Amino acid sequence: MKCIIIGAGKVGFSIAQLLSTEEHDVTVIEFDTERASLIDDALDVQVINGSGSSWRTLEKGGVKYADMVVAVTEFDELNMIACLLAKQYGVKTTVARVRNPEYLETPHFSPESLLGIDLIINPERVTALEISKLVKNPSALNVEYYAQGRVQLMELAVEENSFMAGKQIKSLNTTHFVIVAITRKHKMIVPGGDEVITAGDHIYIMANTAEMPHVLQSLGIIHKKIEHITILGAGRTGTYLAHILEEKRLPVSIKIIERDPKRARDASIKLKRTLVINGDGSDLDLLENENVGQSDLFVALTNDDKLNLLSSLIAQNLGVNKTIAKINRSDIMPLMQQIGINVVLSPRILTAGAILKYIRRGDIISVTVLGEDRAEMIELVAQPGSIAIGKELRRIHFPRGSVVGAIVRNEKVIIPSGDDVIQSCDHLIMFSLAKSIHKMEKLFINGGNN
Amino acid sequence: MVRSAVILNYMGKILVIIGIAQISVVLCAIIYSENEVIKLLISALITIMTGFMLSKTFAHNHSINYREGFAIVTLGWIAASLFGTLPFIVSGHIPSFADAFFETVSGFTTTGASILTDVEALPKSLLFWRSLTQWLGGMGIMALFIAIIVGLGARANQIFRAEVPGPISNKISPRVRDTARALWLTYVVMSAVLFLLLWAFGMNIFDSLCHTFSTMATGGFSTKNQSIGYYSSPYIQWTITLFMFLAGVNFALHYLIYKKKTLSQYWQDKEFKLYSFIIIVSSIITFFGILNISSGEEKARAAVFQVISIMTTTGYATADFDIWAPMGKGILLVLMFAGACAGSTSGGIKVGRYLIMLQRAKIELQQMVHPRAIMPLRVGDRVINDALVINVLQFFFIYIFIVLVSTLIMSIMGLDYVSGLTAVLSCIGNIGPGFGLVGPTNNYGFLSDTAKYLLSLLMLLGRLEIYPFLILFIPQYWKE
Repeated sequence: MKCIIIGAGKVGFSIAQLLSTEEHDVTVIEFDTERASLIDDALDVQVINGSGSSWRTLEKGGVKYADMVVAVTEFDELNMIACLLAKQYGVKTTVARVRNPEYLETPHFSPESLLGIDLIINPERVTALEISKLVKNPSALNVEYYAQGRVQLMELAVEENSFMAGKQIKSLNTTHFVIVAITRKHKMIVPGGDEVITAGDHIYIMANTAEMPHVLQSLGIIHKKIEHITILGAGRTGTYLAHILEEKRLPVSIKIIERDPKRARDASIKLKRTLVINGDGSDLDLLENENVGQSDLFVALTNDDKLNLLSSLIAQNLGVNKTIAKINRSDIMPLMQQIGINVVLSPRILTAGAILKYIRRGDIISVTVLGEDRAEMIELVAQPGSIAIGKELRRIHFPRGSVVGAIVRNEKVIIPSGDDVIQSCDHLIMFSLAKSIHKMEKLFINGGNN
Repeated sequence: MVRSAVILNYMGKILVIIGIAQISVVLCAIIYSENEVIKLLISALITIMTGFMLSKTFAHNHSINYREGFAIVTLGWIAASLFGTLPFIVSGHIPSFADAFFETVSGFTTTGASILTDVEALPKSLLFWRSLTQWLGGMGIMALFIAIIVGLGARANQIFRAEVPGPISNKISPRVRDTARALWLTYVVMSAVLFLLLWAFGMNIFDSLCHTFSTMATGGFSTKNQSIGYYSSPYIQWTITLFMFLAGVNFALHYLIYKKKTLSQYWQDKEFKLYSFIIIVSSIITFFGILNISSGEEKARAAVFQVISIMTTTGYATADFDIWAPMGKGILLVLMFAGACAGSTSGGIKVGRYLIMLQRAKIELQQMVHPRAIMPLRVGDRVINDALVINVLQFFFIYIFIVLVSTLIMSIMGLDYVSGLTAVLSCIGNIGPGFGLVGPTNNYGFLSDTAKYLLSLLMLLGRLEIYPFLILFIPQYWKE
């Protein structure tokens, strides 16, 4: 597939990187000369220095033959125009990043259909949605849903005192869930039955959504309900998050702390059930006066990584159990977790994941990018006539680093064991490391054996 | 700069409208073949001619500036009240100017306080004029003026806002003229429905029309000495109760609901909700405060009627509430401070302002707990900005302050404090009756001329919601 990516910022870089490792032809259009040469050095992609909204540059990038254009520059309008232009050249799929809520929150029509853009993605909203899922599942570090919400994937931290620590996976009763992956010391492992879980691991558990609470109970993980949330930063992400939580009508009380008086005022007007406090998030006095220590969750969403880090640590010190921090520099993400912040989110990775999810759909229904190691959760349909049909799972030669987490057959969720047989039109929810994806896909595509 | 030519010109135009309204009184006199035809015709012609001369003499093609807007509204109302006295004076039925002025101002401001001991002694034409002044003043002389006169331009909005009661005025159409027309149309249609209902329930045409006028305007002038109490029919009393209630609702809301055809919109309006809530609670309290009526339905009817009558600042009476138990009287006294919804024809402080003040009080307390919190004041989905909040709080203060000072003046003039206070409240709130000497079975006729002028001033202050009136007394207003 030939893809053009306009804008080689953080998101553009991530997408280009992901797509090029998956052996797609990627052309990156970047206005800034310095940035362009940096990409040229770092990635195996074609780089064109120019503006994405100019037809000359687009033609130079081969827009006539492109299957997809992803516009992720800083400017909403430029992204939209680039996509409109690309559509004129007959590009099948266009994706634009648009951050201004004014363009997106139209109650009467979908902005996608109006502008003829296939996917409009808003990083702040994606990040906020991600956090809102964690609010509903407080013990998780990460939550994903598949097969219209029937199957749930959860990332959990294994605590020192957990009974799982030091046990082999096969010694656990795994009839209702599958441990699809473990991250240990920043490395992602696809575990076999002999793998020993150690304290400090993050495990990815897949189970039927309805059964997940029981699974967590059997693993000795107690849900502590979230009732008080403190959000630092009333920027777009913070406001979105509070808005989403308000809309869901969850029984939580939300407090937002924002330094800029105007922003605080805007947020207070937009949010009806949220208490907006005007003050500095690193001001210990303020955090104490506002009783931040009593919150069940502290979410740091300012644009300043250092402030997010610092205030999360202060919040933990004051007694907050769970902290979530937004980080723009994804290279320091692992560090943050080491310090003890429970969940670290990078809007850039989330956005790249969301875009990838969209552009990879087709044979594959949905994709989630997990962690830094480019592992993915893939939801796909076993096509009639593909190699895997009619075989028991243990007889299928899966490439290294891939595993089937769940099978959805006739609306029913099956948590598979080695004896389960793949039938045609099964929905499979699989975990795979990036390098194995192509091989694995072939197992389930008609004519994939050649 | 305030240009007197501009103001006098518009005052002239307003007088022409008032004069034309007086012609209808002449027609009424002709229909009932009364002796006053010529006298009434003369007074109508004086009004029209004066108006015509003024507007011709001071013809100009300037547009109104910001300051002139206030003067046009306030002086326009005063001019209308002055010339509105002519039918009473020229016909000789109310010879004293102070009395006639009080009666006319009470009419235009929809107060309904009267100096007449025997209303029924007046010829029908003058009774009609009393009710008509209320109907014109109800939706607003200026609104009518804006709806009729072409070419007022952008400043019409300011005149309109200065007259429409309440803290927030909704413009229901982009053009202020269309807004004024839509409101007047709603008013006329509702009046027509009320008229037909009253007629159907057995009131004669003349009384139906007069009572329609003063009910829709939440005025309170009746053609009978016993007010609505004269009509023993429960249907008539309930109908009037319902329409007083409706007239106390924002007419813009009525109009929008008519346009959207969804009744549930009423319930989404916070002010309407509070307004209804206050009426329900007060009616229940009043019910238990009535001692001189035993029958259940009659007692309930009297309670609801009186509560709505006072709350909407209409001022009709079906019973002598002055002899009710303290509980029944107390709640009515409290309601005299209330008023109905903004944008209605009622007077008083208005529920909308209380809504804002209550929210503000809540925020004040919350902010003591969270000193750094930012809490916008919301009424429904609308965020009220600080300037408006201060305007409302200030309004409340000035209103109460004026009430206090006026009560003091009334007591200096020798009135007991119950009568004095309720007379003042009743007049500034455009209600009508008070307690004691100015109770529902009494009238204001016994007061001195000075007291009558003071109360007339209060009625105008209340109707124009203080600011447009007071601004004229600020020296800077008249300077460059």
